[in-house]
Amino acid sequence: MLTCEEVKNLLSAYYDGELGVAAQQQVAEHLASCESCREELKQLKSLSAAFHTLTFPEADKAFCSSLHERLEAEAKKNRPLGWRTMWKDMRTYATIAACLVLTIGIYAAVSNNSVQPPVTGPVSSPAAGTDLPPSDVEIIPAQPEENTSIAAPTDGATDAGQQPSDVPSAPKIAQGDTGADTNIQQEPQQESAVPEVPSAAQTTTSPMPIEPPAETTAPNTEEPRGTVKEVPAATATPDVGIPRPGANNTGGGEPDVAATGGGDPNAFSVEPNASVTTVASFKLKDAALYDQVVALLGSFGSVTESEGRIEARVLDVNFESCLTALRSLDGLQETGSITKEDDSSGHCYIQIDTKN
Amino acid sequence: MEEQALLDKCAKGDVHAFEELIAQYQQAIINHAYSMFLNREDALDMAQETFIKAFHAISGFNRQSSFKTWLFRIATNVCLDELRRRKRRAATVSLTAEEDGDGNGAQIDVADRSADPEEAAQQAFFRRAIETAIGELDTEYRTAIVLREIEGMDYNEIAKATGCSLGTVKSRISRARAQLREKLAKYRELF
Repeated sequence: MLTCEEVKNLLSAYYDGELGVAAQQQVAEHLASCESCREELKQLKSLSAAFHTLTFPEADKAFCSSLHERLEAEAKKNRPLGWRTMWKDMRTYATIAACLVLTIGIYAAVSNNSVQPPVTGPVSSPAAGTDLPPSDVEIIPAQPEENTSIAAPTDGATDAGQQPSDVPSAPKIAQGDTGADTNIQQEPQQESAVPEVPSAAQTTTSPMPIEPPAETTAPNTEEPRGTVKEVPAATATPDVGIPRPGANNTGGGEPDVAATGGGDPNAFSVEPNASVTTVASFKLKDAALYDQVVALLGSFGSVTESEGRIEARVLDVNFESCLTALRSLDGLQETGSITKEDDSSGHCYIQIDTKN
Repeated sequence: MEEQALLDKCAKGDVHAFEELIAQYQQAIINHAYSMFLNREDALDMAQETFIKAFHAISGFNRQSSFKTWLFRIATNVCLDELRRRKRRAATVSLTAEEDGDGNGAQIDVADRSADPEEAAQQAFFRRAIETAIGELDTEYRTAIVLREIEGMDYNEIAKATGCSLGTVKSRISRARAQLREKLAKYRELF
């Protein structure tokens, strides 16, 4: 038999019917024989009745029309699936356009060099088909790892079948050691070589300030953000040579005749320029902004989502605009920035901490 | 239209479907926001912010929880963010029932059901006491007890909507009731 002290501690949950069956019965049995506790229950009921005499403000016409206008504006600004599809298509078109530009550039460069006497020395492309007429230049998409995908939106519109092999990948920015750069079959995870190629897909759970219902984690409630979005900025255009197929077989350098004049087998078109770069850090306070933040960063540069973090790489010229846009978001707190010497090729980075 | 069908349309950015979806929760969200701010304008602003954020995020709603608790979760976060931003404690409900320029003051009205003058006076007095007592509760307690008493949510729903554990909800509701009873002890004869 419960004591009065125990019953009084359980009375609130008992009144709301939130006790287990056994506890509910025990309290009921006690109440049947204890007037003091019955009086306590009566007061609970009176208090509850008092709440139902309260009235609350109601939405008026101004509220409804204002809400409607804002929803319409939001719908125009963020068309969820359509936006992702559009970005996916734009990325594809941008990639194709970039490849065409490069092809034309290489053709023009090779054509210029073709009037010179044959080069017998440093230009070594022993593999068949590698001393190239431009028409032989072939863009072979990078082969991602099995667990990677490119720009698959979380709505699952892209499946694993639509891999880079169907779409020409962004040309690699060739730097440094050709042994790493020339193998375009290689998983493009090397920061220095292929900064624009999507990295391995990483599954994250959507962040929320408060854990959502147990089935998920989100502002909960969003489904896991399973894939990496690659949203290259429209202004980003590669300006370097493309590793040529077959160069792997040489076991050595991949000369870019156009850029180096055949002098350095390990060099590609563009010399890396040492520069400083800035990394700005933010913390996502309002997880409901997650999608908006990703979309915003995607409009300025390439975005990588991982567990507890969003990273973006933007051109220097877009950096300040991007920061301004991020700072305007309530629920996003800027936590600092560092500037460092880095071979960033004119890019800056933004990191968003999305952990609780 | 069925909720699932509405959610499908909302995920595609259909504003009308979203408005139809939230219509049944609109007042409840306003009540929830009001319980945290005790101010009509703030409550309506926060409710509107809640719906905008929900519309923006709805394509990511995976429907493993109910839409109602998901919506209330967003409302709770919106209100807490605003409270933190303002860095102030919950306003005490004023006995004057007038709203000043800053929006502070009693906004909770109580229906007057009596035609008898003496009874009406007693009820008015009782109302003020209730208003004051509720306004003096801590925000978390007030939110929990209002969601329980006004919205009729069970403890599980309240836990999901406010992002706390079931045990915390039980504790907050129990303590809210105990505090209200203490504050209203002198009016006990009116119960």
